[in-house]
Amino acid sequence: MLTRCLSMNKKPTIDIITLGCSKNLVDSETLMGLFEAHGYHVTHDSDHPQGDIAVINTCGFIEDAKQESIDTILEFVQAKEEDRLQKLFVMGCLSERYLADLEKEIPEVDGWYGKFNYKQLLKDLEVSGERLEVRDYHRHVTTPKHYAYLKIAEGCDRHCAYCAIPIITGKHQSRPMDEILDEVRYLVSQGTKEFQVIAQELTYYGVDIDGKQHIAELIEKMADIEGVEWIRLHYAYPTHFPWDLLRVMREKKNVCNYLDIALQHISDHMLDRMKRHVTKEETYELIRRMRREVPGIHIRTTLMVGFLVKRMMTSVNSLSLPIGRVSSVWVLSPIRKRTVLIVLNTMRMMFLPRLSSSDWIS
Amino acid sequence: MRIQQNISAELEAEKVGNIMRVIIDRVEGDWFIGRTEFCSPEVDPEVLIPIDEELTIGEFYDALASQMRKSLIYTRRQRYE
Repeated sequence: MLTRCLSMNKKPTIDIITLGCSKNLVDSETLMGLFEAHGYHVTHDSDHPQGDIAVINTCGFIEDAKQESIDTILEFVQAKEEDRLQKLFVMGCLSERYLADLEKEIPEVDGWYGKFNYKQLLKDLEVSGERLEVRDYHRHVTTPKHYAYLKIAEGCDRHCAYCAIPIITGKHQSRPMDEILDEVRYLVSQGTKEFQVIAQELTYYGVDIDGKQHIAELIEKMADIEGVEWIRLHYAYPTHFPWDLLRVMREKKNVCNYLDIALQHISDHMLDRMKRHVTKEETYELIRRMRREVPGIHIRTTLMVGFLVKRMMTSVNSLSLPIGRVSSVWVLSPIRKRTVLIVLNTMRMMFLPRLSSSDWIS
Repeated sequence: MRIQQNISAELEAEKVGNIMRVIIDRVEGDWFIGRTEFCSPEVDPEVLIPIDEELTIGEFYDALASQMRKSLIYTRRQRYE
């Protein structure tokens, strides 16, 4: 079918399947925009192959996500063997991390791409033909058009002891501020009102460019763009928190009083073992100051109850501190057998204004 | 997990009586599904508004948190912005 499509000069239909996080979703949207600009018809997240070509954008972070990625690849391999699919390509974090093993174990896949070279797929498909210059932000937004994820950086320079992200995504790379602001203006022109600002480490934005944190400046400039109704911040880091960001959150009414920040633990011993470079007291002070400077702030966070198995009981006990009532809990799977076990992901602590600091400081 | 769900419901119930700015994401059954500024898509609690209100997906409205069922807040439209 693919050969027939190409021989008839008709572009094949491409299914893109996204697994994993919102950063992956933005990569898929970028690839979809690139294909569509070159005349392809693209579908997203179909359960079964609908087109001639499938591209699976994988996750390689935790065990369950890796298994889901492999299961999905095998499902599409089967579709290919049953002639329901002509070509199968894989990209994303799993293949970035385990390329050699995957190539060897699943030879039915027609091409493997990683986290950063996936645009090469278009060139590989179109051996000849005109290639257009397409800005990354001319992507196909798959979320409801009134909101979009906005990726401002990729990679992470932190080296938390339990985390595989720096292995997969490499060092922190901030996108140029002007390019991000152009993307915001473009998305506003397309109907986007709410921006979910994302990065592996939001608060590190700019450090790789000139050694300074520029997240507050970026968000302030975003907030001043007409048509930006809500800006929501995801994935901050407690160490070296850029305090000026709190001023921007307080002063700019279109910056939501909402911050997603991974605290991970509160015991000094565990924070040290996790290589978080922050202490219990510094964490307390961070929360106090957020609540003081941004009244009514809602904080979403993740906490791990255990890190090394032998320390688990200690760490569970140390988490029994009243830092506010937690609104809900998710349980994640073990990241790595025997070493990192029992990850409890606690989301969304709501530090309500009526709670005084004496309510939660031990 | 069950304890946490109860705490979540309790926290959300405290918002009953407040007027909140809500964005409408979609329609499900007899409800418009929306979010306040404290809710990120797909991961946080959502706001439900009866379908008989004349609302548009992607628009903002001021909504009164009128009642609480399970972990969701049910609201009705207060005024159009």
